[in-house]
Amino acid sequence: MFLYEKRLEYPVKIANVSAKNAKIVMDQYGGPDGELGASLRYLSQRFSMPFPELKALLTDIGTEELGHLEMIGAIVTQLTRNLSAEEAKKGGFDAYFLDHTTGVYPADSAGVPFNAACIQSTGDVIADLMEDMAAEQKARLTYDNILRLVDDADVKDVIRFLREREIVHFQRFGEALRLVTDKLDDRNFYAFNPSYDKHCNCNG
Amino acid sequence: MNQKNEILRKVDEKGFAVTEWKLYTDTHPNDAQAVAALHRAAAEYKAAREEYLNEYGPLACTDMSNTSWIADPWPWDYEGCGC
Repeated sequence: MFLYEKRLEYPVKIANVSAKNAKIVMDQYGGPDGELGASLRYLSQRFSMPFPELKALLTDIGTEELGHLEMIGAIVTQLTRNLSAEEAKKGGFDAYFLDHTTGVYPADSAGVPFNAACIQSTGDVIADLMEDMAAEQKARLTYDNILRLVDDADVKDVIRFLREREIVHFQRFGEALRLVTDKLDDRNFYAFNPSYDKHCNCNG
Repeated sequence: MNQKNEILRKVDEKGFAVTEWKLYTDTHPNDAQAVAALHRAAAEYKAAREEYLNEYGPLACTDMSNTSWIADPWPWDYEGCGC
């Protein structure tokens, strides 16, 4: 089960309201390489992970990603604090405002709702871990682009923290992949999926 | 920074150390030094957490505290006034 802790992983305190910045940061809430997809991906894939190290890693990173989703939501809601319709229009936020006002909704920067088609859970540990490593790099580059597009110091400080986490997660997934390939047939580790091709000895 | 934020910052820092050592020991479960560091971080986190709970209310809904679970502010509340 999950137990909520009433704090953010890293504090979010945005002084200046900006619809333009909200629209950009929103992408990591419900966009294709965002934190919602990350948490759903890892927390779903963990059910078919074959080794205890991997069950733990996917659970722990998936849980941390939920904390990151919360941080992105906090940035977006603070960036739109007391936002007027006029400011929304000026910041290119009017199409979003029309459906959601300043509610935080999982969509990408262009307003396209979150779609689980941007994640996978294949039941194959090699395919899943390879996807996870790619996902961390895609999230890292999205944060790089947010840092290029956003000019607010309070926002950038939090985004830099989140960007660092993608790099650490990439490293840990790489170690997890090495751990898996060490345990499989090293002449052809694609020949066997330990979460599916079980060696069952229950019947003697 | 007021005292509440100072203690919360400490909880965040100690909690982050736990997160980092936890992920590392997931993929290095036999690294005794890292496991010891995780245990140290967890103890420091628990102590910082207790300090916060005693003064400023529950961090989890299972925490016993004099202050209400529902009390504002929630973690995303910030009015931009530097408080």
